[in-house]
Amino acid sequence: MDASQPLPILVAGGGMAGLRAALDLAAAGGSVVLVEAGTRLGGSLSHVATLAQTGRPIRDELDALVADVLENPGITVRLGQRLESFAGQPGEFRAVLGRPGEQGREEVAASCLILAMGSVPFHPGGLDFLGHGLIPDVVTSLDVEAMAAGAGGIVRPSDGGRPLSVAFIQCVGSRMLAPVERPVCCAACCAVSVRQALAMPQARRTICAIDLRTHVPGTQEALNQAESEGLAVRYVRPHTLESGPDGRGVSFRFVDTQGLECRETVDLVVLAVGVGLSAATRAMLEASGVATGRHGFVATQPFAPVATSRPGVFAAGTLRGPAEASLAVVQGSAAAREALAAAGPKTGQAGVKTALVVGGGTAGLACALSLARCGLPVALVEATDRLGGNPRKHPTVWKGQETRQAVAAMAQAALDHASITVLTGTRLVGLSGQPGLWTGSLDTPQGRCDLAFGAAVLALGGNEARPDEYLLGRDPRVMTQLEFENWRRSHPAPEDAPQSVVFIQCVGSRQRHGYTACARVCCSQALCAAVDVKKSRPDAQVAVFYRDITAYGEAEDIYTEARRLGVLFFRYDPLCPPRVERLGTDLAVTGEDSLLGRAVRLRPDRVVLAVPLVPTGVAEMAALFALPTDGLGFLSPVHPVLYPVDLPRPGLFAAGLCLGPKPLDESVAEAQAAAMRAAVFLAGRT
Amino acid sequence: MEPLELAVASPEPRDRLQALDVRSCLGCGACASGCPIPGTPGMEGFDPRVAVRLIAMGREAEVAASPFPWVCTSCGRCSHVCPMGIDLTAVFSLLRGLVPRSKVPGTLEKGVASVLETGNTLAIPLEDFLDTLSDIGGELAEEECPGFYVPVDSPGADLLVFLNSKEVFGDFDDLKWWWRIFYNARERWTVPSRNWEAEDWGLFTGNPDVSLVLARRKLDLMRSLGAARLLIPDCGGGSYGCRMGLKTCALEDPSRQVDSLYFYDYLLGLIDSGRIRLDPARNAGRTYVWHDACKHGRELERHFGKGYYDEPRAILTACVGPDNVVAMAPDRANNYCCGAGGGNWPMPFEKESAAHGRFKVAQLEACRADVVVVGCANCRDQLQKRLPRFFPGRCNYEVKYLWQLVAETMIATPWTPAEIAAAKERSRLQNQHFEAELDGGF
Repeated sequence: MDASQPLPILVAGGGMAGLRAALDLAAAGGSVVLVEAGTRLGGSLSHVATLAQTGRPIRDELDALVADVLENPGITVRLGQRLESFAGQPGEFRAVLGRPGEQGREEVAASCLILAMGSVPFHPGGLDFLGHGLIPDVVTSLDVEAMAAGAGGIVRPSDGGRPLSVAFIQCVGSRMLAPVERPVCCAACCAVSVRQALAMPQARRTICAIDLRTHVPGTQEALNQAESEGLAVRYVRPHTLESGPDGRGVSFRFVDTQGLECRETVDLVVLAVGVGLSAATRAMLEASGVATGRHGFVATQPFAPVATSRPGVFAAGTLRGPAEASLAVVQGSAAAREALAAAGPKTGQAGVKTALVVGGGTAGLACALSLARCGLPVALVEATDRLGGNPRKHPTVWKGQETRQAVAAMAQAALDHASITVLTGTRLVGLSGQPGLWTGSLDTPQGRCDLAFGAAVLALGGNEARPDEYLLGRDPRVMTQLEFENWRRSHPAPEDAPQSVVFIQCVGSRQRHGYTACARVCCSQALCAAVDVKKSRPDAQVAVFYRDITAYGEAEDIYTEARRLGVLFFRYDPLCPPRVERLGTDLAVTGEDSLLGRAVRLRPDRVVLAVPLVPTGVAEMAALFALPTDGLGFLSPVHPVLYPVDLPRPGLFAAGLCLGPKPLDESVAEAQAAAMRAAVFLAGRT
Repeated sequence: MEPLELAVASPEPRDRLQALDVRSCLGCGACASGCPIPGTPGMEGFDPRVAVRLIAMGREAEVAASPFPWVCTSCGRCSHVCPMGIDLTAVFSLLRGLVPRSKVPGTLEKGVASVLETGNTLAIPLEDFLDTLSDIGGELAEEECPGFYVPVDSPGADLLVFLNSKEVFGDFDDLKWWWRIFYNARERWTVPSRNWEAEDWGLFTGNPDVSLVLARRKLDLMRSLGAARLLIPDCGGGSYGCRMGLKTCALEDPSRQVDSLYFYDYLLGLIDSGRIRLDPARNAGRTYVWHDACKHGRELERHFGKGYYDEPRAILTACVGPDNVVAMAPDRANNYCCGAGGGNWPMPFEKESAAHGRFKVAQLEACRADVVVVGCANCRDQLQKRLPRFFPGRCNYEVKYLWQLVAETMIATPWTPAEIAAAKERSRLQNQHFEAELDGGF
């Protein structure tokens, strides 16, 4: 091989994350070897009938994507081969490929690697009380997808009849420490069950859940619709599933939250199975020295969400932790971006247009840096006079990292970078031209000026809503989560920690009208804050009033830790939320303990409200670029799963909170993905 | 109703409860869904999910003051499915221990006081004990086992055997099944003259200190009698409590580790090695079902890594042939309790215990077995005596001990005149020894 020709980038895994990474790399001029252990490309999405995010079929789009990969001259596809191990360093990796069940090994040289082998579903046969494998009409969520995708539709296996009643049992092989240890929440199963329930409108439908987590975009709206059609969500886990009369259907007993013994017979029981890494993937990670986290998934850092412990090796998709498909695609693009930068940064490409990044928060900074690392000229425009966004204004600790410090380092790196022009106190106020050849009019502290740019990434950020509820703004002891974080920062001593604090979740989110979506981050934030208070002051009374604790993915750990530390949790019905009032000088919170069937009252020092994140500045940008927004005012991507950071006009991309509420690591991944997509767009035009 | 004021200084669960990780509870309700207590008349408002919630909130006294911990049969169906792996049976057992001893229901505490003082819960004196062994042993020798006697305190035996006090007290015929097996297997066995009781009522009163005393007694007997192996007894509380006690003792002092043998392994060994021979044709024409005792299967599996599901089924199959065995659903680790676990045979919660057994009755009806075979004395009494009273007309089955079935199926191999003569001599010396001891002692 020609020594000046860089080695190809090896992408392991032909699911959505791997396909996206391969296509983006090839479009940016890279050469790719795509290795897939199975016999076809498409990964787990090729087994689903409809997307959990949209409720619509994905088959045609997926087939088109696979065809693009197969026809792409820059991508060599190796089906039936598995990455078994690798060694070496950036620029000169040696990957060992094997064929499942065969002896021979082959070595392939690669400059970088992207690991995207995904995960495998949990097999519930070992849980005897669920009767899977013994009772014909107990099936898994995967079986339902396969049936729905097939010609016969969803039937009960015992007799092929259309199910007139169905019960979903959530968290089978997830959120459990015993009898098998699978502690993480698998992040997508609640959304899948809600969609499957919607797909069976003729049936009486029940979902039995520990918490029904609607963080996957579109799920809360789907749930609202299903509930209006009669779907019952029950917070209970059945114990023993038994065959129904004559071996048809399934009977079980459960005890509801009021303590009443209930019996149910349904045509079909669907076990919502979780996911985990396959033995082959675990062996590969171990053989290659890729660090894994406590649950065995590939370990990553919040501000480097696709980087692994090994330089030059990146990870995307569910092998780095349970995630919905859109996040896997985002990570695929992000990993492609990071791999390109690691493979050998190109500098000063002639004729490349400037990329405009609007917004100097976490996402904007991450995006600008990612673009600049490959030598692209970047203009970073920030409306306020300082970079840093929310982490600067409301510093927190996320996944063990101080957000303010991390973002300050990114801001400094952007200011120092030769390819990045930072314009603070500056707004984009006018626009002319066309995709790829835009001229923006900037309102700067020094006056108006024009900026020519080829692509733009909108990273406009978001802020907390301030609903007029629960005495917010009327009593200083009632605050939002970010205000509470700030208050804690300014009162760091253990004795300053509140003696009693009550968190109220879903304040203004998950509504029937208006802000219908789950705000996604507030449960994890409340749990982190609750744990922090309990750790500073173990005798503090900490209580959380919630509807469904939505600590999805590996955030489940924080929920478990909070319970173990003695944080009290009270589930409330949205029709009967807790009441916050002043009783004399006391601040009092009165709510229902649904399990004890008793009203409880606490008199906390602080009440912390989980208000939703709302986008900032989207309306004016949307108007300027003629972009659509969704019902909540967020920007809408071309497709929530296939093109999650592409906006519906060529050359325009978005990242971070302006696409919807999300934690920092997801924002950073989107920023890197948007950088990749913008670079691909610009590369196609030079 | 006024809201429950949760004071800032809310109580913390006590240390031992804390150590059982009760606060990790997700409130999922799997425990409650599998627990027979919801739906039991008089137990409205109680289920394991509520109990654990109260405990996690530091309000365990409320639960301890209720009948819940006593009506709970420690069956462990709750723990079996708890996604957090909380050992709920241990939690509820600890709650029993929080109750003032004067408030322990029924005769349990009296039995504990008695076993600590006299060596058995029914306070049977040594003389009566020896008389019973001699009389019943003599009967058996006359009936079908010439030369049989019960070896008491026989040094250097291969097997040290403990007895169930209700059999020594009155259910005499039940003693004979095992004795016939020992006779035909030509076992070198013995029973102790003191502290001979198998049961562990410390387990029932939630008093681990008592369990430990009882286990130590068994270990001391193993040592003083120089026995090779301890036969882990049959009764649920006995076998499980015995194992727990042995484990704790060995943890305290590894030199106290003794060789033990679970009676299922013992029976299966006798059958497999040919030491006893069976004639399954005797049991033809009826169907048999095995009832998994909670403490022999599920709870043993959870605490000791192995549940005894396959061994009793192998023994049953050897006795009746594979075609006559039917199954209950659910069974094995997911089986329903008879309703008498956790001391609920002797305890005064009869109605609740019977209601607990409603699942068992339905299971037995559905499997249509003629004979239900059990491995636990409390299960036997519950199925044979209590459930038919509370569910008249629905309990159309016969109940047999597994060892009873073995004894009934066993082909007799009477001793030779030389063996009989030698046994008579040993028996004479034994009688002489105890007569002297009793004369001296009284």
